[in-house]
Amino acid sequence: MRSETAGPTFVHLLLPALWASRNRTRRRDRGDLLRAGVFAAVGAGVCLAIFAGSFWLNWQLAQYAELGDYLVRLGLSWLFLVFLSFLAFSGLVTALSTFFLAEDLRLLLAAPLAPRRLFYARFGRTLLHSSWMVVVFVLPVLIGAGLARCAPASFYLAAVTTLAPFVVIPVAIGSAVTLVLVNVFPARRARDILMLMGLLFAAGLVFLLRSYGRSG
Amino acid sequence: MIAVHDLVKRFGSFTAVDGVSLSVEPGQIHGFLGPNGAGKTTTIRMIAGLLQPTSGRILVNGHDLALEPERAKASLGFIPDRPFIYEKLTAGEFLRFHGGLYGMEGWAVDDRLREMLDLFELGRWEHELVESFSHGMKQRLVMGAAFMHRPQAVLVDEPMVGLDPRGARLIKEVFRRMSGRGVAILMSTHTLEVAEEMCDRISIILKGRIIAHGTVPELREIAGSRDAQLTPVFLKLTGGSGLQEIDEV
Repeated sequence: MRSETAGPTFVHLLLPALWASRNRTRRRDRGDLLRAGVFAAVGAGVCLAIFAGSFWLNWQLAQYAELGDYLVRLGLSWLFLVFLSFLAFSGLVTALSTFFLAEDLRLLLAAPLAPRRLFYARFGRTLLHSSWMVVVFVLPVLIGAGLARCAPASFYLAAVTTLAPFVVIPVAIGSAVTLVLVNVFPARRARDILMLMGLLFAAGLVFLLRSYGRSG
Repeated sequence: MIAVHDLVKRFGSFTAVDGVSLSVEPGQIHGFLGPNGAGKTTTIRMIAGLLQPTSGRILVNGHDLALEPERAKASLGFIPDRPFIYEKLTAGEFLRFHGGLYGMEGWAVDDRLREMLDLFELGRWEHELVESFSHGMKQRLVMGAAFMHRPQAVLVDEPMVGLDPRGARLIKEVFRRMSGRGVAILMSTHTLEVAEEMCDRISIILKGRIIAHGTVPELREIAGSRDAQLTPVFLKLTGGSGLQEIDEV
């Protein structure tokens, strides 16, 4: 029977990333602040543009009763389909590095860590790395749509609660595919296979969108 | 103590480790020598729990690594040949994180990490980022981390690589002090002078098999050599093919 000692908590395994971020912020080199400012301004600008675009489009489409509703539904379906595929593929690629190719794995695997805790910490990292961008881009779209349609507070609550499984499920599926792939091929060969899968994925996505467009 | 029984590791049709058995008693420094590709690092990685053996049994301080991996690892310190350190952490943070991995908390960590930093002459660098450290300093920090949780057994893979003479002397002193306190140390090295100077017993591995083990005089006897130095004995036992691979300091 396998034993399981108390060992470090899940949060402890995330400390190096948190401390490293804090140290980067504290020990700024000359020009770092300017770079961070430019990056934040560009990010905020993009989010604002997405929000403005979403708000304007929803506002315009709201004028056209049934057709407007249909077009909003169609647009959001496409958007979510694209992001869903993106999340699954991103989870696939990120899981390869967090679970198998990360340099700190040797340090962690030599420590008395329960495999389950290490798995959850790695999955948390995969989830964060592969989904933050999607969340940053989806939120302004949903807020824009909500404001344009004068949606009640429950719309925003539903949006946030839907976003969590929307992000977790495809990343989990992507990670599971990676775990299966690496059990069949060595991790470095799996990386080449993933590159090929990336091309097939892009081609498949274009095909899917075109078919969906036609049937819609 | 570290006890390995009939350890085998196969990669496809290639057998990297073929029936290795060895035992390191408390307070003993056991040298693990062999030419490149002989199976030293593979054996050490299996004992550290990084590789799963094809067959065989590993006991660390009485805990079977296959049945009680966490208990076995909790009592083991591991210093790999290519250690990983988080470059964006300070020396103190790295030791604190490492201590936490082994269940150390609160004041116990602070006291112990200062003790380790002082022992490895890194006290002044506690709040400096590891990325600014030299190779030797990183090596000493990794050793400090390995001793943080007061392990009863330590695995060391090539400890002297990249250390200056002062650093090498410091490490030798620390290892002697730790073995004096009852810590069992299994040390793989290419530096025969270090093995000769520090190890109580030596095992020589060639093509995945232990071909000789014992004290230096016993090995000399096995090789039928009258040489006082370990180098000719090693070359005689390993067929002389390791001549180019020996990195003498």
